[in-house]
Amino acid sequence: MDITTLGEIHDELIAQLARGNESGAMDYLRSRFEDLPEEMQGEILAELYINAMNEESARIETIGKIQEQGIAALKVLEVLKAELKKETGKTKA
Amino acid sequence: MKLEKLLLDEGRKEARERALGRKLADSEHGSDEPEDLKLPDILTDARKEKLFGELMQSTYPDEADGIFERLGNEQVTVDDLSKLNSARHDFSLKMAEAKRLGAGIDADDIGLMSHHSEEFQKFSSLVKEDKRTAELIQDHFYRVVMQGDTDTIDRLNEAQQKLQEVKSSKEYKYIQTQAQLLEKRYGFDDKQYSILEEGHYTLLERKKLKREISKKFNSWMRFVQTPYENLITLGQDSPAKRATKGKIYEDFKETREMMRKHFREKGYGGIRSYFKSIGALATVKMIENAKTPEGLKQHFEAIGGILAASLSKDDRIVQALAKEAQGGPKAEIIDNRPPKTWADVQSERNQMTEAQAVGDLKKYLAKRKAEDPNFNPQTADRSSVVDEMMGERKSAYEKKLPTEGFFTRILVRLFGNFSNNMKPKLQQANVWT
Repeated sequence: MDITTLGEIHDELIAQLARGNESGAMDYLRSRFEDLPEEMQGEILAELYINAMNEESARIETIGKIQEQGIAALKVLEVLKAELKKETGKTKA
Repeated sequence: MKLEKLLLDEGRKEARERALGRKLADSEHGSDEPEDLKLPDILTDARKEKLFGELMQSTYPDEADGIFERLGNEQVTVDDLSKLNSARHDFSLKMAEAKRLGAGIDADDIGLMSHHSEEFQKFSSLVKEDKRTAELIQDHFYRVVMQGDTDTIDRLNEAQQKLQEVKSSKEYKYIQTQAQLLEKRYGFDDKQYSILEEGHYTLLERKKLKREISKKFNSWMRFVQTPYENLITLGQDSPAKRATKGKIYEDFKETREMMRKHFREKGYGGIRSYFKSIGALATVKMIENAKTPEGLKQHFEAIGGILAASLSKDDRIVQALAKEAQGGPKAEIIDNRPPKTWADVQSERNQMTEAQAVGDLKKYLAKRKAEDPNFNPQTADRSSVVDEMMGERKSAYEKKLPTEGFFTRILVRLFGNFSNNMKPKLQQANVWT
């Protein structure tokens, strides 16, 4: 890979990041992916793979948390329903 | 027998220590220790050869090229053999460690992770096959182990461990149970199930598809795409809606055919096959729904609403529930440092040019001369001087970057690649005389 291309990619990434445009930097990196040496392609994919694993863990965890609370809420509802039945029974009596 | 084995092991250990010319650590010798790879096996395998070369270069930077040259000419010295032997042993240990780290990653994992992470999917789709993506990632993990890059190894270990932990959680098992239920009830295997999932459009996917299709229509047709669509079109499907339905029907073709065939084979003909297919799809929808944060939020909001109303409109509870319901999974931001940090680095732009590197070398030579009057650029070992200068330049560059994060790692790597490519040019540059 020639040094001019490396410099070009480096400078554009820095410029995008300095503007706070991280997604722009990602898009740019993607557009130049095939220009990069295989070692770097592997590194980028490996970094994103690790990131994807972390995202997946966070996703499963959040879903689990919401499900757990949903189940807890349902249990409370069950208790309330039973209380209500009792109350209705008392009123009728 | 045990004593005999112990003696043999000890004998083997001593023999190996003699061959390596150094003491072996306990972890390097024992029942779990991998067999040393043979040099011909390493040198006839393209991947191993490349990695072994890199390891030799990092262990013996000044001698590696010479050793390989002598090896090629069958003129290796005893010292060369000892170094090759030591590196071969190190290589075998590291290969075993890398295999352990990268063994779990194959084309299926790539497909799975692409399904879960949009960013990863965008990049992995640039590589023609998932198998090739897996190879590139595996190669990288092999390389980081060879280089002893503990930071990456730790992050990978941590991510793998975490995923393992959450996957063994009871919540995750619930989803798995639902999937198993589907298999038990309708007898789909994993492959068929993935076809079912693929062919099935979730509500969000349907909406997204409709939005994309609508873009192809003129402004009037786009105007129709409102919540009042049915009123405007007097209950008729708009062209965009028809096109969306058509696309979904078309995409579902393979799934539909697979399901019909499957149920026919299971002995359900005609209408029974139809109802079985509907049942299977309902379960797929249920699983999809449970899997999406939006689906869960909807359920949770509904339950939360009833609960809040039942509890005398307690505002604190409503607030807490709303907060939880809105706190769906958030994609991890790769670099969450403030942009200001990157603005500081912007002065580093144009650093990676040949002219800049040559200018820096000139300054470096002048600095060295000022520090040591005996230093003579004309007689100095150019390779070592360039290595030292590039090393200093790289560490100064790294200090200016944010301490960690995806882009920091990528930029450091770019800088490293640039430095390697510049070395021969700098050795030939017109600044030494």
